[in-house]
Amino acid sequence: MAMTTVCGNEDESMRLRNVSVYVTLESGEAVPLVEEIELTIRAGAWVNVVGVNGSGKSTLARLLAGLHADGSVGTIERGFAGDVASPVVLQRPEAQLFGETPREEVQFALEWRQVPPERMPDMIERALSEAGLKELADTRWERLSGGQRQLAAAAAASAADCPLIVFDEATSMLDDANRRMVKQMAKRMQKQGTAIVWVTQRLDELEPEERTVAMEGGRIRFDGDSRTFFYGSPGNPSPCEACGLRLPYLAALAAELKKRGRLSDPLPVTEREWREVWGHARSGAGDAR
Amino acid sequence: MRGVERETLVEAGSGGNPVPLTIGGLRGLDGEEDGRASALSLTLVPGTLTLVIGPNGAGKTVFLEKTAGLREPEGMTVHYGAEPLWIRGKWTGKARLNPKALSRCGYAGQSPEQGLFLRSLEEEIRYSLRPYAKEPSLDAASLTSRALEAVGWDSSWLPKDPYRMSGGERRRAALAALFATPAPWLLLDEPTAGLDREGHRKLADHLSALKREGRGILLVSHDSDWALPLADRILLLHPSGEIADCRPEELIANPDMLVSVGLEVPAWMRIVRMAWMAGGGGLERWWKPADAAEALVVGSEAGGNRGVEIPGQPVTGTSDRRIREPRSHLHPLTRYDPRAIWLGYALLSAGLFSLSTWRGLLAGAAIVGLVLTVARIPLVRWKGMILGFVYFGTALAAWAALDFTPANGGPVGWDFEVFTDTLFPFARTLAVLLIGLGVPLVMTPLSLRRALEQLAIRQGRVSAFWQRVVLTVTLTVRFVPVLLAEWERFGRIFVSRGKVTGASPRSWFRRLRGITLPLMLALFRLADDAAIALESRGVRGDVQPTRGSRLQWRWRDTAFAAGAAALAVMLWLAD
Repeated sequence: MAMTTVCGNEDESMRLRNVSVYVTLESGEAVPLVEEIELTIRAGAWVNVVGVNGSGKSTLARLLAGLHADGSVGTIERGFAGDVASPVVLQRPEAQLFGETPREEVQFALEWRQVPPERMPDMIERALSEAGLKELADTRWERLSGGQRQLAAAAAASAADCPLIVFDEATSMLDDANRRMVKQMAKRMQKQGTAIVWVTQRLDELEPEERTVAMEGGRIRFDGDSRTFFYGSPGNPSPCEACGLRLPYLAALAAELKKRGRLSDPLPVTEREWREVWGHARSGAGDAR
Repeated sequence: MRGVERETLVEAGSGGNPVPLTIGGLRGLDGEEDGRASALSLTLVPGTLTLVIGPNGAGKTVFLEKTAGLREPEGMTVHYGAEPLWIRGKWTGKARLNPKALSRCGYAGQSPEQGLFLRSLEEEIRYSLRPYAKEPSLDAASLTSRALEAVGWDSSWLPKDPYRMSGGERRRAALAALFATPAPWLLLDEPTAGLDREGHRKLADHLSALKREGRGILLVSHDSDWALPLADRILLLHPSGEIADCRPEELIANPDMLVSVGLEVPAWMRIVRMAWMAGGGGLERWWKPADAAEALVVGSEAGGNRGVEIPGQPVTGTSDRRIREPRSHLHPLTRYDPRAIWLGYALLSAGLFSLSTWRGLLAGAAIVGLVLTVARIPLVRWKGMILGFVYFGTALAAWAALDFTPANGGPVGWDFEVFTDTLFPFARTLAVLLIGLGVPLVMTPLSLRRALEQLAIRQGRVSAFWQRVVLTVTLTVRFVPVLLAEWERFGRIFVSRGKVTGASPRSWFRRLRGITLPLMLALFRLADDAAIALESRGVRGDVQPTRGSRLQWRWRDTAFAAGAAALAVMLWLAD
């Protein structure tokens, strides 16, 4: 069975049905990178993808972006995402920036999306100002921070109004302020209707109501909201830990306080939620939330 | 915050000979009003872990690399015990690395697994231990088994080939090779990136064990909730190059110190602070979530709500301290049309290649020197490759000049004429190469692409073949600086593991062997990423891109090319 790719219209969801990707080792043995993936993504949705190194999250990201993968089987219905490959923002700026300045970068992207030259100046301006890079449009990479370079890559990705953008660990090398900047830009794109696939290894980026897909050993082990991902559901342990990921300090603290009857569901994830429950955690009125 | 009895922060449980790490020539970031930086010298105590934090661009990695001797110190002085990291050469007076100091530190940069180049984990560990082979007390077997234990493995992993391991396993292999060394100081740059929960735990356990043994650790990590509980001391790096120094307690009590260097305060730190302020006691009881929960419960049952102070909303401003502007890298020659630069280069190269006498080549060398000086082409960056070319050419010529059937009847003769004849083409090519190295530095890939496209345009279209050629050439030029940076990075990884400091041809060839394979693999990964980025931007063979801008050939471009032609003619005449 080989890979089947079906293109749909712009309202339809993207669907992966029973998709696997295999690599063949020197010994002739075929090893799965991802296996039996079943996933549906609606137009304009936000989906986090998490997992330890080697769990298959990058392979999944590339499949979702519509990039060709050797050794893949199953069916992918591209739906709203269309038949051209979706833009991907990668971890390392040096591998994905082809110009020398943010303006050159956006221009390069627009040229290859065949935007007519007369429309280009406006679109470049818009993309750069949405990324907050208007002032820095003609500054060379050496003089920009890691976050600003990633913003430029995101601006280039978004300039041509694609229905889906994949961020593959785009914030791994960034400090908190730069990370927030890049994530906020992705959030703005989503508000304007672009679907976002956000692959990350930084679990503190996950917001409680966002959809999170957790990978382990090439398979999807969890697909649900981030709060459930951290804390599990009644009778089920934390999917985060089940996938071999380290529970962040605050999530671990909430789980311990729940064990001692000081917090009850829904357990806090964000700083704001923590402040809301803090008094109860301290006084023991755990069910007040 | 500085000068707080820092020597007594931790009573070092250091067995053997404690080796403090002294770093001088730094600038301190004082909380004083005038904002003036003061000279700062740090003495890091054996048996402690120092965590280095700072925003992107503050130079955490560079700081660690300088401390490990992998970069020019630029005024920073480093001593491992009494041994300075840099010493003056006896004859040359040039600063060079002190092998004794170098052997006292083990270093793992970001993605240390990329530095592996041997065929089994056992060989990797033996390679890491080689600089210590002369130490009489070295017990390689026990060091090896401990290092394996530290990453959760046993001896069955030793014969395995790192290149057949998964990414996570290769990381463990690289850490095992580092942990095997008996160096009293370990410098770790983001060791947990991408590690699973088990890997985080094992690494924390091992670092704690090393501390108890009296070894010192300098750690860069963005996993603050993992790293801070391990730390005895914290260095905060400001983008201006200034450094603040504090203890974890001070940082938790006063998280705005993070803001003062341009960082944000993570949510977990605010909550820990609230808990600590409310519950009191030593900070260590708040590090483990289970202990912290217990302490909160016990504290509230004792009825002691000792003034829960909830700090205000996160402060997101950064300090207004001057941030050092990086030097502009825009070269004056970028003002010229790339076609003029290529034409000039081709003309000058033709002139150089036409040379046939050493006298002519001398004139050529003078012109090359002139061009390099006037155009300010920084050759230092390419030192490794240039030296490699020189060694290779000289060695080959020397070999070719060996005469095994000499006329005078001796065992081996040496023919000077053959030597110079073989060397000549190498020397000539070197001259062309030296100028060529500057070309990518003075031309942006996009302007080069425009130039090539405009040369190839026919009826408003560029043929698919030309499109491919143009893209290949421009991407090659685009990735030359990246290639160079990768070459330098692997050079540093090699020095940090092999402790090879000499510049002899022999050590150069050893270095080549240690760098080439990891470099090639890194380039494959880079190419893979770049291919994905290109494909995802819509770059395909059947797409005819539009063009957003055009190049203009100006008078100055004609003048530039004419100047190059004049130089070429002068060479031809001088020969």
